[in-house]
Amino acid sequence: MQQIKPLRVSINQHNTIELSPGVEHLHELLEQLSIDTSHVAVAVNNHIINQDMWLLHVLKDNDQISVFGAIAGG
Amino acid sequence: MGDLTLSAKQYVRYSRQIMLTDWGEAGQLRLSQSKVLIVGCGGLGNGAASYLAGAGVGHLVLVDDDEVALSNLPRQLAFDEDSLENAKAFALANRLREQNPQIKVEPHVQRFGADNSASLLRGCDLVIDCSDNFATRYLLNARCVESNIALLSGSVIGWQGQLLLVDPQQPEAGCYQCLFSAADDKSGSCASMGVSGPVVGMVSSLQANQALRYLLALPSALGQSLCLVDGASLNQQLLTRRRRSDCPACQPSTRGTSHATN
Repeated sequence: MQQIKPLRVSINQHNTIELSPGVEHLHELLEQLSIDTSHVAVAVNNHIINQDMWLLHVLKDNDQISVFGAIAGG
Repeated sequence: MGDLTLSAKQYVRYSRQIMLTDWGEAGQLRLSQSKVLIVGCGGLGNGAASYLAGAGVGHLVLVDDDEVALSNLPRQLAFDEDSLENAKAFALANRLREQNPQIKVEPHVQRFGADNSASLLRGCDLVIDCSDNFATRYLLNARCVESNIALLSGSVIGWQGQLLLVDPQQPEAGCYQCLFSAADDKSGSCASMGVSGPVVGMVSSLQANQALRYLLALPSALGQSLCLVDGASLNQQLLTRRRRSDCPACQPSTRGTSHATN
């Protein structure tokens, strides 16, 4: 039986990683990356995915993920 | 506005921007009739206000309850050692009046809050968020949405900047709170994390440029996106935004419910 190749995504234009087994949705990727999600926003392919959609958003091969924190300095 | 014309001196003063084809004399008159609230007179407020005053925006309202400190001077270029311990709003207003005596500058040594928000927002065409804390950012966002006033939000930390426009004409793009639902000041401030002065200058310049384009009714991608500015890599990234369906700040029922604009 042919083994299914894991999906690969890039994080913040630098690191490319393989999704762990069972990781299909955006919220699972954030768990895989151990990201504290309380202050962050996430974009997939330059479209921001609001936090209420992280459970539903299905990742694809070669997705470009941007994760960044809120900043308040002025 | 129809009967207004520019004086000969104003025409010369603003000639290099009037000659832009999508600016023109009509655009300059439009700016002279515009009122902008700038919340925060630190690094972003210094830069944004100086460009708007220079460009001839007719009425600038400055709000900040803080005083000039020595650690501000590397990036808050309207201040010098003689400004130390003076109220930032007054010190910036004095500088802007010297820069352009033809405009009205209205400083308030106050923190933007629930008690003064309605009076500060009254009659404004645009609000620029140059504040340094999340409580002010969330309150300003909510009040602008309620008042149907556009909000141009900028922020900086380290080598990074962020910029977005919450435009009442583009409700589908959502608001500041759709993007960051529950940030707090543990996320970092310039005092705790440090900041590069020129990055503050970059973001405040972009704020001023987008503010002028908004006041001139020129197209801007910022109403539907968030701009990330990276002063280390020189990357600039535009990310499209959408309204969060359960955002408490910009439910259709809250939009335009305040009468601060009247």
